[in-house]
Amino acid sequence: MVKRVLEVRDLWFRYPNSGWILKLLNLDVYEGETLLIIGKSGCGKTTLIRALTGVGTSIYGGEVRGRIIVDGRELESYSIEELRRVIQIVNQDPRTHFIYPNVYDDLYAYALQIHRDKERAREVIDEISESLRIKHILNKLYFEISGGELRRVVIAKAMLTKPKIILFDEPFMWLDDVGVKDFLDALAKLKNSGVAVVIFEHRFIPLVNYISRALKFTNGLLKHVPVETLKKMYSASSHREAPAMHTPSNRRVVDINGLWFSYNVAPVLKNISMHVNDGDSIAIYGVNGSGKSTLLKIMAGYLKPQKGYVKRFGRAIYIPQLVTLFFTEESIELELSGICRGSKSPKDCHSMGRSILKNYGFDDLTLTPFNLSWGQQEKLAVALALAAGFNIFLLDEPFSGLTYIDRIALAEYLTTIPGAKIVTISSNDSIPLLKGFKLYRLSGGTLEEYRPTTEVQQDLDYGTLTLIYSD
Amino acid sequence: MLKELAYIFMYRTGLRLSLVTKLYIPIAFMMFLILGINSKNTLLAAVQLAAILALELAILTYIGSLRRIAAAIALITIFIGVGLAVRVISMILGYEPVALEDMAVSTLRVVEFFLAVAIAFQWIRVSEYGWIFRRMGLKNVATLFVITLTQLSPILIAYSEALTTIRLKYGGRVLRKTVKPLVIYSFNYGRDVAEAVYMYGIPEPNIEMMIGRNDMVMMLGLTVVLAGLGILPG
Repeated sequence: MVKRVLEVRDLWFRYPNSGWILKLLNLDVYEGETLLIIGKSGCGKTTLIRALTGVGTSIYGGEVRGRIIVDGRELESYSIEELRRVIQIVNQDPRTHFIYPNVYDDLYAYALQIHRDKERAREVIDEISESLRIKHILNKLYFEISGGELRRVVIAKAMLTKPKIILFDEPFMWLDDVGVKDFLDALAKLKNSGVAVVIFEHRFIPLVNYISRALKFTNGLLKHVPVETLKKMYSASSHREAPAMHTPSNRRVVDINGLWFSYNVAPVLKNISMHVNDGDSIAIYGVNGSGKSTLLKIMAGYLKPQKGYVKRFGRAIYIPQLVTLFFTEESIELELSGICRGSKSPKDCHSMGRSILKNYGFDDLTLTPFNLSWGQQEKLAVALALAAGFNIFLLDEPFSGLTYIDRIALAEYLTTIPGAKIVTISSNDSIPLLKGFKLYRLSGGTLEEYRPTTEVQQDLDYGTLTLIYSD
Repeated sequence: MLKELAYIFMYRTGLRLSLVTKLYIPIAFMMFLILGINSKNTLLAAVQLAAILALELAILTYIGSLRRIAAAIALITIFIGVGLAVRVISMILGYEPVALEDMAVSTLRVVEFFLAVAIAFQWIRVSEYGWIFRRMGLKNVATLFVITLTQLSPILIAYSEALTTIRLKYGGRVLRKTVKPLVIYSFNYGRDVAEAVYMYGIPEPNIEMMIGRNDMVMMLGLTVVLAGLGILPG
């Protein structure tokens, strides 16, 4: 019989001064299994991780009711040192795991703290770094390595204690296709080592062949989802009507010709030419570090090309990967006033802006932008820019933090917006969602039209997706 | 420029030297620059400073950071600019300006002091600073210092991204507008770091104190050269 390593019974959790986020939640995790937990943004995935590791009470002062039994013992009976040996977390942002910037220093110090013997610490690092293929990056600083390598290093750190369970909080956040493949290779290694893996991730398609079970978060509870249902995502049996797209015109808004750019010596962008018309929706696909953000910043006029030219016929706005950095005010109303201040007629901009925001679903202007969901923040940034008269919208990886449903909603929203929309993406799994977008690929510094394989272009089954995320 | 400045404080990896050497060499330079320069004899001071500059550049080349530091040294032009501005203003206001050669010597002294600091940052690891603070009984300072320096890079990247975004959004240099999003970002990021620290703890680093052959050669070599420079006839 397979051993149960985590048992959660009738769990309730809430933060100070908030309502219950987890309500009567039950969960069992068995030795060696790989469990996927999906759910909408803000459904409580991160809160569950905090509850399971004691972080929720120790750092956030949250209130817990119910029982959490980790490897046969009540969670409260563990000291933090003991708990580290049984359960480990890998955060959404792996950079936060580093106490020392040098990869080896960081791993070695932690291994020494756990094993209390220099020789044993070196042996464990050697063994795990061999298995996870990170030996070549041990002597680097963590911010010099790629996203996929960073995940592998953090998995190695979690494995140093030889835990029974590893919890991953959105491991695909910011990862490109190369990083996702790296992570999946590491996951296969974990599976062979017998550790139980629980993955909290809404971007689940790459995981379907690696998981044993799947659960979804609904109203503070966990419900079973058959893995077969997740595997049927590409059967494309039901489609839905896309909203009316804003028709592209022949009016040129961006003209790029023979553009070259470099930060140091090696060019990041080589001889890029591209023409964008009003109403175009364009997606630029490229792995991390391929120069996508640089190209957007050049289009926006923030960076100057060393050779070639960029002509803009209109106003360009740049919405960064971390969309919260776009907002500067406490309410949508103040955001609108602020962004309108730069327009020719602030008063007209403000009154027109109010109706634009209303049209795009922002009725309550007293809301704080920082408290909106990721997808809503992206939409709000575009609507505010539209209100202020911008007509070239440059969105850097807007789909990264979104569920597939939210990605579809954002892509459709963008196609209904007048003006030119240019988004960057780093993973192929967003491509089927980008109906009506022209695709380009940025690779090795050059930009070309992208015609993905039929496998990549396969339609997602919207009906199944809706079912998966439904309450 | 912010990025170049950040590079000064980021150490190079792969060097196998004792912490004793890494502390001794920059401190020896700093002490000599404060106490050993013959400020009464400009020619002698120039010889001393030229020799120290050569040594510092040689060490930076050995560390492998010369190019990065060279980019950052552009910042030092600020010191020179300020010096020249003071001189010009003094002349306009009718004061007796500092002699040009004295100004050149003192500027070079500042630049070399800055390079000595850069050497310390380039080869003393964050973990080693933490260890030094702990040994001084400043455990909390050690933790704060280590985590701040380790997490400096992602924070600076976010700051640079916020500046770009806000400039494009408001069409100008509205630095104060970046405060709110950056405070929120820093708070959220700091909270994530706190969670990771809770789960992983602050492990004691492994510090190399053993003095090897390379350490001996470097420390003795520098001592001999500095002693020689110190006793040059005034």
